[in-house]
Amino acid sequence: MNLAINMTFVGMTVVFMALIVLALVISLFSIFFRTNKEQKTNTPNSNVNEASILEVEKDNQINTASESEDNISQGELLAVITAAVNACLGHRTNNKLVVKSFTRVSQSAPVWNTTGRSEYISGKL
Amino acid sequence: MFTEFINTIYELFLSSGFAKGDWKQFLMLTVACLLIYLAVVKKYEPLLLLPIAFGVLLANLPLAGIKHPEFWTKDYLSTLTIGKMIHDGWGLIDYLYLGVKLGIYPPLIFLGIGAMTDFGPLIANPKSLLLGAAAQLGIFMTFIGAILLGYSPAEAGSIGIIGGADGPTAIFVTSKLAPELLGPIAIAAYSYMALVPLIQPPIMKALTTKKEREVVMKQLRPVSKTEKIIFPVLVTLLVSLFLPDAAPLVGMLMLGNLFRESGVVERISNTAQNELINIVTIFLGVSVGATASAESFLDLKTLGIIVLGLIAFSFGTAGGVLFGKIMYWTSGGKVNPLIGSAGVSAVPMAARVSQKVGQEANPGNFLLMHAMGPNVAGVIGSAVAAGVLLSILK
Repeated sequence: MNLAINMTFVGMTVVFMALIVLALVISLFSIFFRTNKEQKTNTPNSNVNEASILEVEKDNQINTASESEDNISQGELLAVITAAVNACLGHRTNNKLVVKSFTRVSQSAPVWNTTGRSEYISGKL
Repeated sequence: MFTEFINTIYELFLSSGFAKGDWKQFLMLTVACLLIYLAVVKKYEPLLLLPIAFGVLLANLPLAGIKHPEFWTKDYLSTLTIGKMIHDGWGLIDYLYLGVKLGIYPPLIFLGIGAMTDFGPLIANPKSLLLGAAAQLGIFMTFIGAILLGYSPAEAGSIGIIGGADGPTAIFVTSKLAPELLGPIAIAAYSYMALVPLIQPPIMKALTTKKEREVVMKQLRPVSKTEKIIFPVLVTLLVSLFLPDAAPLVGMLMLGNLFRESGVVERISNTAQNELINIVTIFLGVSVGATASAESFLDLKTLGIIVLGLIAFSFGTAGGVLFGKIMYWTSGGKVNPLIGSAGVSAVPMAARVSQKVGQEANPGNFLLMHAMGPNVAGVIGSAVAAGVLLSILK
């Protein structure tokens, strides 16, 4: 019985200690990455709304992937993106919209958020 | 002529499994059929329960000799050679069981789980690791209960780990501490995991007020790719240095996650989360099921394991919810205590239960993403608890 009580205390203490240390370290690096991100987000804001021209930095990864693997030309992708943006803006003929290039943005929202949102929405339908 | 024919048929019947099998084997065949029914019709964790159930069926076929328990004694194993395996007539299930005995399958399953898991909610809210730790209370409380019921410490540790609500971890620990209980423990662990939506809600509601269940938590922050890549390396280093016995499970879990998050080994990541985990699941299920022979399963100990397994799940849920309440009070009502119950692993079922019970109290509430943090923390927590049990009881 002594062993059982001892084991319970030791076990719970070790599990808590290990995960508390982990939580502290994760909190530290999350603070570090958050400040980094805030610095980055300041720069693209200044480029927005200059004209109806979308300037997006070139994405080498997509270029190589599209040329070698999918055989889809960058021009076709640009046409699709342009059409999508145009559709979002309401098909106005006076739109001087030119998409010069594009880049893939890594998914920032956790997958569970996305899944959760879609489940929630489908539950409401 | 006719008498001779009848005699031949009678002799054939006497040498068949119908005549040679004893009632215990037929009872086990009935249990196997019941488990197949639960897996197929009731969908109780069918991915593992179905191969386990069929393993039980194969192991209890009279005269078939599919599994040989005599090969797994300490004396036999200490002199085991490949020549001896061939000479003694090892069968398919015996060879497959080596993967369990040597602790190969559970870490490989963890590799696949790691490749399938998004640890983003946990990185976004590191405090949820504490809920994953609190929910391990079930393991250690059940350990006390098992010792009180007369189980040996090694057996008690194996029964307690059912409370981790993590099948591969339970199999890993049991194969090292009490391999003779592997069948009943695996069946209890997977059955209770399937019953999480029935076991947890009454405990969650009993321990929380409506006001607490209605708490809407604020949106989690986005997590960068760099954080997601650093996370598995960091967890492996910290946990394995702290508890070397947890290294096989945590190491493989995090390797799988690194495959996923690095984005540079998509093929390996896909294999780990599809083909590899599926193949290993078949091997693990059948060989673990085959350990449930009539002699080892039809015992009072099995009954104790089933009762204690339920206690383990209940205490784990209660531990998580109570710690959730502490976080609710200390945060000034910002944490919904219902997410604590998800700390018992059982990914993602336990998180879905938190979500469901939360929405019953407040239909506009959405807890799933918040519950995923403690849920995946529970996987790490149960692996750490397994390391503690192994390092002390092995």
